[in-house]
Amino acid sequence: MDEFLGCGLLIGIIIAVVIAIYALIYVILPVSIVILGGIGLVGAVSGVGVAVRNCQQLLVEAHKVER
Amino acid sequence: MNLYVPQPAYKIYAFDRGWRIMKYVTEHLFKRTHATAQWWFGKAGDVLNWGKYRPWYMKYWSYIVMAGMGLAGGTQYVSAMILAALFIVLQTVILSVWAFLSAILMGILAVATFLYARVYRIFFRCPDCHKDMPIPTFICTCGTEHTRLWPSIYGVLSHRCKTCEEKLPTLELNGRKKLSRICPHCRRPLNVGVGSGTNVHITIVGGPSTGKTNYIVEATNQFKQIYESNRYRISFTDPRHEHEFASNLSRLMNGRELLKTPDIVPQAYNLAIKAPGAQVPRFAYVYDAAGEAFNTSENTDSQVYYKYVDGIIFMIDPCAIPSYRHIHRGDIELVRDALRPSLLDVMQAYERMKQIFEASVGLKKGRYTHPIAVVVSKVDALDLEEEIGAPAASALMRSDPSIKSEEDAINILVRNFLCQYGLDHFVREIELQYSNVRYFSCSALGRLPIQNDKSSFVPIRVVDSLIWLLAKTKTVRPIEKKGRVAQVQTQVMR
Repeated sequence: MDEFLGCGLLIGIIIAVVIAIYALIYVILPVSIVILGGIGLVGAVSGVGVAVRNCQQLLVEAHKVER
Repeated sequence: MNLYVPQPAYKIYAFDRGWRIMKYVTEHLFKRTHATAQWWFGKAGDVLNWGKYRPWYMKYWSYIVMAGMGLAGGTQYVSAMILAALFIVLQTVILSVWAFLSAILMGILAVATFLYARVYRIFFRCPDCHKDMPIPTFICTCGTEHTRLWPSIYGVLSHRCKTCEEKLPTLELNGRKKLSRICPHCRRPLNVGVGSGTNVHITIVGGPSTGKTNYIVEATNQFKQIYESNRYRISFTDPRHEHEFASNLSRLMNGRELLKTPDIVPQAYNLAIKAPGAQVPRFAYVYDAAGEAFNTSENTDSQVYYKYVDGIIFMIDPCAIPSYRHIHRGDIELVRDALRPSLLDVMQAYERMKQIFEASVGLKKGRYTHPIAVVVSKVDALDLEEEIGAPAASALMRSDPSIKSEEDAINILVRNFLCQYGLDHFVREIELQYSNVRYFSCSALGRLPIQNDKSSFVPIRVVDSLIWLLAKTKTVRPIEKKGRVAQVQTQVMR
């Protein structure tokens, strides 16, 4: 009975580890990358927008300041 | 001569402001980007703090979000860097092309203006202090002085005044001549004609009371009448000169002599003379120094304008010829007050003129090519008209048919007259020094000035010498004397 239980537990652990590895590879890592990349992309896009806006504002400002 | 002098004007965008703007934008762009990036980094810090006391799986996701925000913050710098690089490249290319094209245009305009001025002998010379200048000082409507208003880094076709923001044209063609201007040396106003035509400098030489001023006013008046009726355009470019000329003429028309010239170093009066069909007018500077200018060497040395002189009118009062004065002393005494004989010896006046002429123009191996008209004045008095005037010329022409014109006859008569009265050394000397000498006789007033006689003076042959001199300096084309007389008579009748 104990041997059967022990074997079952081992198999269970192995299955759990396999599932965990699969989950890590196919769920957690991609989701992490998507989140990280998504936020990064949002930052980059907004960064371009902000840089263009800053550039425009600075050009107007510079034409006023640098006579 | 300094070609570049800082001006109270804005420089061309491509030479100054464009580069300063580029520097300003790049400097401030990173400052502002840093502020935005800090916002992202701040948020990342907040997320980190939030996840610190959460279970491990929550902590993991908070790290992921924090890393994402850090990445977003970092991309702000990348975006700014890319944009700044693009801006710098684009602005540099635009400014460089702009500056290059402006420099090419400036060069073309500078060379064209230089060649035009050299070909037509156009110079900026002050009629007051007689100094040359590269360009006058132009005065903006706000009173700011612009000393180099020409195509430069301050503008190719116009400069913008820093004080009042007004655009000032840099070329005569696009309206620079409308601006008021002053001489950079003496700071007196310069008239619009200065620098707009081929310069011709004529000086009148003679001792005090030789009748120089009466002569030049009457001669100019007749010259204007004759040549204007021949489609020449003759005008005074300075309203002050025009006003002075008109008031002098009015005095003469009312039988009053002109006042004595007070200036030892004269102010030149300017006359623009444009021949029909001519591209560029001639711009005459006529110098009428007081006779005292030739009384002493010091006064003569101050006649700095001699270095420009193109032609000389040398006036001789017959009473200043010692031998003539001695022979006719009785007759001269009778009309002394009206005649006002000149006391300066002719040779002395000539020697002083020669001295300043040589000092200014330089010594020459050969003869000077400057035309010189030797004019014996006051021929209305002492029966001189019978000796060196029209009647004597007619008699000479009758006796010698090879003499074709009255001018030629008078040339011979006056030359002989001077030799006869002991000025043969003067004649020899002047003919030795100058290759273009001609003798004239005239009377600027036509009669002796008498207190109660208010009738207009009618000059005799006063314009002949001036026309000859102006023709010799290629200012005008000579006009036949017959035509001239008719024109002057018509004008007088009007």
